[in-house]
Amino acid sequence: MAHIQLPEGLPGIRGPMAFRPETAQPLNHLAEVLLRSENTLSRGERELIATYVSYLNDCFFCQNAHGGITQYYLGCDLEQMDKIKTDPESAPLSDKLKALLRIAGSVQKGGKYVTFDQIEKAKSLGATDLEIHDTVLIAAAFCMFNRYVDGLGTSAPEDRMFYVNRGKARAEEGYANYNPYQ
Amino acid sequence: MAHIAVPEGIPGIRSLVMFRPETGKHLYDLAQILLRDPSPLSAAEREPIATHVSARNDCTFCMSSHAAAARVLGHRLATVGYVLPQNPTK
Repeated sequence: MAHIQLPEGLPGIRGPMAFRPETAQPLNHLAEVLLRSENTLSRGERELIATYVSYLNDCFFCQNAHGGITQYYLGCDLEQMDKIKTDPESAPLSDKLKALLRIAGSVQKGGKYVTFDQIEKAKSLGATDLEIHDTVLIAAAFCMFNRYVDGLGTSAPEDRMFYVNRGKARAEEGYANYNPYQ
Repeated sequence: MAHIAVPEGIPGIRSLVMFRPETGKHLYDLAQILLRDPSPLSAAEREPIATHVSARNDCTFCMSSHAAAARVLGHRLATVGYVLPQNPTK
């Protein structure tokens, strides 16, 4: 049971968003711009960064919700998704994305853990300033979302296929006009 | 020097909001709602929460700017000091 009285039957972040729509709006607009607006990083790559950080923060709801969406974009199954999360260095991803994931992993520990070397490595592999900015902000934002979801003690379905099955619909629906009741 | 080419001479988050206003707008909107819009907690009560968390995260810019905001909203220097680290690194 959540730490505060949230609307019934809404898993993860949906309960808090329904409880406080005023703050949900900028949170959803931020997610929409970061994860879905036009970008040289694909939507799949950006959702992967969000999923990876949520995995590092051990947030069950967020890593599975965004993992399901990532699976849809990247065309991978649950087992492949889990391998990417636990060992991104060995995953079939571009070198640039791996460098960005290292930066995201550092942000998850704390902003000051991002090193000059990590940044230079990403740039040498073609990462632009905008891509680096968005990687850091996606990582920082998801640290916030993860703490929001877990800090209020929300619950979520334990069946991981629930999230995989919703992946396509959630990817297409986006975040801008997100209705937590649906 | 920042890791990316943000506008010269602009401190902290302001430089990042100028670099990427499409995301900066929503960050500022969120902060406005959380810290200033009507709430059972006064704005003076909310700023020290932001200050304290920033202090624990060892983020000088955020800690200092929200400490200043707390003082502007009516807190005395001594009160704000309670949410700041005892032995600051800077």
